[in-house]
Amino acid sequence: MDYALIAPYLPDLLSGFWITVQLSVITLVLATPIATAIALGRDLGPRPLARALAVLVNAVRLLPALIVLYFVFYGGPQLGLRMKPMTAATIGLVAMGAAYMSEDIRGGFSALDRGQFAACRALGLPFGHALRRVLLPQALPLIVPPYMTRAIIMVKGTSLASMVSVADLTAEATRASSITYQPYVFVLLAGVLYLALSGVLVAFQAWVERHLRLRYRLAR
Amino acid sequence: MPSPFVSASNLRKTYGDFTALDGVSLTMDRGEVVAVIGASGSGKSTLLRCINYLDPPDSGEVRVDGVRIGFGEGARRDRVLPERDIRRQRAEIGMVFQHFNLFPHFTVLQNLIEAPMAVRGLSRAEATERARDLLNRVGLSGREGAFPAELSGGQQQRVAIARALCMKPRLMLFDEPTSALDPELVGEVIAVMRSLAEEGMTMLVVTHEMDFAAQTASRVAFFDAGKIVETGAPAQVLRNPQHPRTQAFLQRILRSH
Ligand SMILES: Nc1ncnc2c1ncn2[C@@H]1O[C@H](COP(=O)(O)OP(=O)(O)OP(=O)(O)O)[C@@H](O)[C@H]1O
Ligand SMILES: [Mg+2]
Repeated sequence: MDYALIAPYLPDLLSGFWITVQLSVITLVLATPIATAIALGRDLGPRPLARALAVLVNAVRLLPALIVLYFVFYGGPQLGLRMKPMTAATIGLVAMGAAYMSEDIRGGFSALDRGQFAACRALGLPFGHALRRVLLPQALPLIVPPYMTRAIIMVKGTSLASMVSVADLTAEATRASSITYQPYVFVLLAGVLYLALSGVLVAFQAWVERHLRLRYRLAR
Repeated sequence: MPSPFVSASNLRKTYGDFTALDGVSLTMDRGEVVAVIGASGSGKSTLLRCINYLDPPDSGEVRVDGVRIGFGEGARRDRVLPERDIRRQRAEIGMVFQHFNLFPHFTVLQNLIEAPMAVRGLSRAEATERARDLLNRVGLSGREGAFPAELSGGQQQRVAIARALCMKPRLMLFDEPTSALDPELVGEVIAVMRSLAEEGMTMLVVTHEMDFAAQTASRVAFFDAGKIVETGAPAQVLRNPQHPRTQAFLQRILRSH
């Protein structure tokens, strides 16, 4: 690899990488609690709320990701909402991520025996206590694998932000490629950096799964 | 005349168009054991769930030791109590399920002490002492550290009974406690229930175990299509049923045993 070729673009690539990291972290941190709330609202909330959430989730889930991003980026200003590209991208990515993740989380809860909840109620345990001590510990091992797969897909999906003029890793790599006519080098470099980022999540998943097994001995 | 320890009066419960409880009334004295029998889908489980307000009845009222379940008294008699008050009432009523519903990620001991600590405010030491005592009574001392999956069905159901007793309930509800068990494991659970009855616990037991109903229950209530159509002493209801539906049900049961 030709270091002299890369060197002039390295600062931009690294700042693009930093944007990608930020976008990933913000998206995951915002989408997770929203997804959890959606899942609980759909499973345990009053019927009108559950219905409304189902419609919302499906609307977002059935649209191409890029269309959702364009919708926020171009549609926002139409409604008088002026926002930075980064904000628009974050909103779009969080909406999509939360919609998908809520399905993963719901899947884990619905696999639980309903008798567990009945037993908690019969004993007089408050809902929050039942959730924290009985339901979540049993649902988590079922939720974590699809959730982490989703998280990885979402991190890779942040590259779509480059289409709404966010200067992320993909945007910087594409720009350097088109200036130098050496796409191979820059695309490879971007790939390695994305791999590093997703790799962190894979390692995190392995750690969480081991931790859950030890803590709750569910692997027996 | 003293008012009964437990009284359910005119309970109605519908699910959509389906009437699960069609005006059910039942009273129990303190220390009485009532066996509830009846065909599948006749509303037996629904009655138990309405008594501890797991499922609120559409109308009618339940009283345990004079306290109206789910509702306030006096000026607030038509208002449903806040959830936390209902939880407190429910903690006084133990429930045992057909499928045990033990917490699989907890040890036997943790299964027993979780609610007494969280709901009754017992310290871990107090709860543990009470739990050990109960495990001893159900013949499972030494199994505190086992996980439910490591126990037989009969042992799991005995743990579930001990878990309910650990809350020091004043009334125990059993929903077909032996129906999910292999035949050779039924006896050990019935034995625990018998000794509980002998100690004076008030028990409402949905069961298909006619021996238990005949020997341990003080009264038998026969359910049909959301109604109690016949109730009386076991010898009366089981040997000399008056209602044609009771007769037909008992014939079916006897043939299949
Ligand atoms: N949550 C519910 N939603 C709709 N229908 C219900 C619900 N719970 C019970 N039912 C219906 O109410 C009827 C009575 O149910 P219940 O469980 O009380 O019967 P059961 O006498 O306990 O029968 P089994 O011997 O099979 O346990 C059944 O036909 C059932 O389908
Ligand atoms: Mg039932």
